[in-house]
Amino acid sequence: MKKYLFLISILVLTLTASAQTLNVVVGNVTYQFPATQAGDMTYTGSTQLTICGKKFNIADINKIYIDNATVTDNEVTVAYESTSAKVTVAGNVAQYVAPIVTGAHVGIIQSNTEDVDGNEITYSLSGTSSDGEFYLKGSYKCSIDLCGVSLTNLTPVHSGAALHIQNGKRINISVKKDTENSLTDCASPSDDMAQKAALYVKGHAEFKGKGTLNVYGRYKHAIKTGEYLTIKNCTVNVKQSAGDGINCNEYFLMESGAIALSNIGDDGIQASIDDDIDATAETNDHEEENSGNVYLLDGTISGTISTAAAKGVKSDGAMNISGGAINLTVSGGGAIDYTLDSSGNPTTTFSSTSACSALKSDGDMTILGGTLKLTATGAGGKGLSGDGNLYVKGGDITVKTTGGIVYYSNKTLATTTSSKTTERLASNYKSSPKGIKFDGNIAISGGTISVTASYHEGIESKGTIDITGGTIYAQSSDDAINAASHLTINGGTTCAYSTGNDGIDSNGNTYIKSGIIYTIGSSSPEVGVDANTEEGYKLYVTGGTIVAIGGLESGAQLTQTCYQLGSSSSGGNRPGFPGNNSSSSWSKSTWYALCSNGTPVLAFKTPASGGSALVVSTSGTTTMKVSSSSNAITVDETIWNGMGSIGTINGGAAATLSTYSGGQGRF
Amino acid sequence: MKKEFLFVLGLAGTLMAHADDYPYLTFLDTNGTEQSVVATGLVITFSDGQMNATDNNGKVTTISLSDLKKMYFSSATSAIDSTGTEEEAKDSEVEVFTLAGNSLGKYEDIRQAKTALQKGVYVVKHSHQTLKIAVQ
Repeated sequence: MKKYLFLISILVLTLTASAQTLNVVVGNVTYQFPATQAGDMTYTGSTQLTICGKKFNIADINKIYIDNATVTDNEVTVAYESTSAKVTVAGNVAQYVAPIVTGAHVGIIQSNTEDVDGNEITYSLSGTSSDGEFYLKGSYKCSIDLCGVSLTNLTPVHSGAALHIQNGKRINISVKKDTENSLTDCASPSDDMAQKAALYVKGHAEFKGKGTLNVYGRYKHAIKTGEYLTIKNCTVNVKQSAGDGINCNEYFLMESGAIALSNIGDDGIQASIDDDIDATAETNDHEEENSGNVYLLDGTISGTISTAAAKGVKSDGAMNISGGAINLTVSGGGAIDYTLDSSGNPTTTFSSTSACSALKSDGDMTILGGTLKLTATGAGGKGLSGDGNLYVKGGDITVKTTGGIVYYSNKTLATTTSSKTTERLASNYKSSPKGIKFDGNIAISGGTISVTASYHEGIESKGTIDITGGTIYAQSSDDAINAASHLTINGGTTCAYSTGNDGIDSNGNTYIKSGIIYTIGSSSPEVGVDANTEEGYKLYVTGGTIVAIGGLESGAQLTQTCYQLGSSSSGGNRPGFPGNNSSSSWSKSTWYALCSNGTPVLAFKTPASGGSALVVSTSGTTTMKVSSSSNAITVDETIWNGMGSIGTINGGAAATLSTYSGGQGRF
Repeated sequence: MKKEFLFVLGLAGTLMAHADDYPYLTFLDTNGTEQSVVATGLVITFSDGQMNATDNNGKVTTISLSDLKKMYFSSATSAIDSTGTEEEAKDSEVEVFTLAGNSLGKYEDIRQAKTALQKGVYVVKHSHQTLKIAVQ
């Protein structure tokens, strides 16, 4: 019985699928008026026919016919077919929509200034044209549905963009599920057709839908909005851009979805402050916001950008990352920035050098979550950089920089892998390939950070550095972690490994208060932990579980007792200097365990066999163990690139410690 | 079971609503005269100051644009002009429609149609003529 009822239902549904429709054909445009809506269709003066408020010149009408087409209110469909396009307009919005169709170049003037029948107008685009465009001018919000449309604009009629929405309101760009769409702009438009992007929206654009959008910006940006831009669910592949991949004003917000960047001529994603209106900070629900902020809530951003001095993601304001996955490589080299004249054009006067950065914020950067894998391979390139402060509260961050330093010399750019070459240059004359570099303060309270910088510092702040949590590994050729002002470690687990300078350094005071710290300085006079003793500052050790290879800065105040591996040095000699007779020695790739009150609290391996002092300290009674062939130290899990463990630590034979009363570093 | 029946009834109700699709397009001229044409498959074109409405059978209704005031969908024909008689249709093939404009098929002649049809009022077309018949 149920089967029969089902069949009857299907039959009835089929019978009800059609609806009586009056179609008015004007060129390539068909206006569809449901019979139930048509009402009185009036003829005026033998020349005009008015239906549902739409006035037709009778001379323009090719024909009128009645069929059973189904009409969706508020919908305009554009079906591209090679060199032509067919437009159908729902009757209830016909009076508000004036299409101009030239081949496959469709322009629409939309005149409503409020909802029509309780809703906005939706434009559904489909089909393919190798020389077409969609141009919309209006002053009320609307939706653009991309339903498997592929447009290349070869010979612009309205604009050089493939999709140009000259409408300053909220525009939904819905990339329909299971569709692939492609937009390519004109490569060489005339001046009057010159477009800002292949996909341009004058107002604010909200990208949504579970489909795929490929964009080729051959002339300037791939995607540009005059106001904010949000992305949810959809996949946006920027396949080419002469300028930025995505450029917007006010703010950029990615809620979910995927953005892939390739063949980018400038920055991957840039959010700017709109100079035409007042700037704001972040606002409630982003209402009326003009902050230049970037918000990355979830989704993925990936790609490689090879342009000199380009940024993967750049914000005029702050950058807030709370989830998602970012996998970006910037491979371009440095560039010279010149001063600008009153018209904004560069002169021949040198201003500064600039270099790439995977993520760059002009304001603060806050990382609450997400997985970030950032690589910079060109000279001067950085992983994370900003003019403001950095707050890391969560997330899994991996940064790798392998380029050398780029600097201005003899009116050109030069590169070097030695920081000694450029250390006396003013900051605007050089760009250094630091892993993480912020002009403001850095505060790390959570998350996992792994930084490797081949030719400069791992983590640098031009202000203070405060570490209160998180797991940090920094390996570099220069200071692994450096603060231009004070540096404080009061929590977390930190490994700072320098192959050419201090492990941890500050140009102010350095405070070690708590946390687990494993720091490795290179050969003397570099130390494990340094402070700016030369200018009257000091290192203060008041707590923590500490291993410092290379010892501690001279003159350090050691409130918590420190020890060194091996017996004490004999008079006058400083370990690490010629003639040092400290018996500190250790072997590479051997596990050592630091114990507090008899309990192992940290196991570590050293990157090289020993030389200068290996200093240790814990808050309890401090002892050490070393692996031997008969009594190996075992660990269950490792951190810091396999160099440490704070898990279950067993085994080992007692190692000799002697008291450590002072710094061994340079004076 | 009751739910399923109610569901189908609801769908059927929808069907009946669509069955009220307008069978005619009626033209009103400036003198107040109405002319109705069957809407299904109708095509309207304009030329030389005339409106030409061609129905599914190829019949063309022409009205001068200067005389045309409005057109509208309608459920009832504007008094079907009986342009012929049963006597004239007796030897001709006819097509029978309901008053709503739904075709009920073709018959050899009007006599056969009347024999086949149930009691009611119908519109009969033959040789470009239209008449109403009543079957008792």
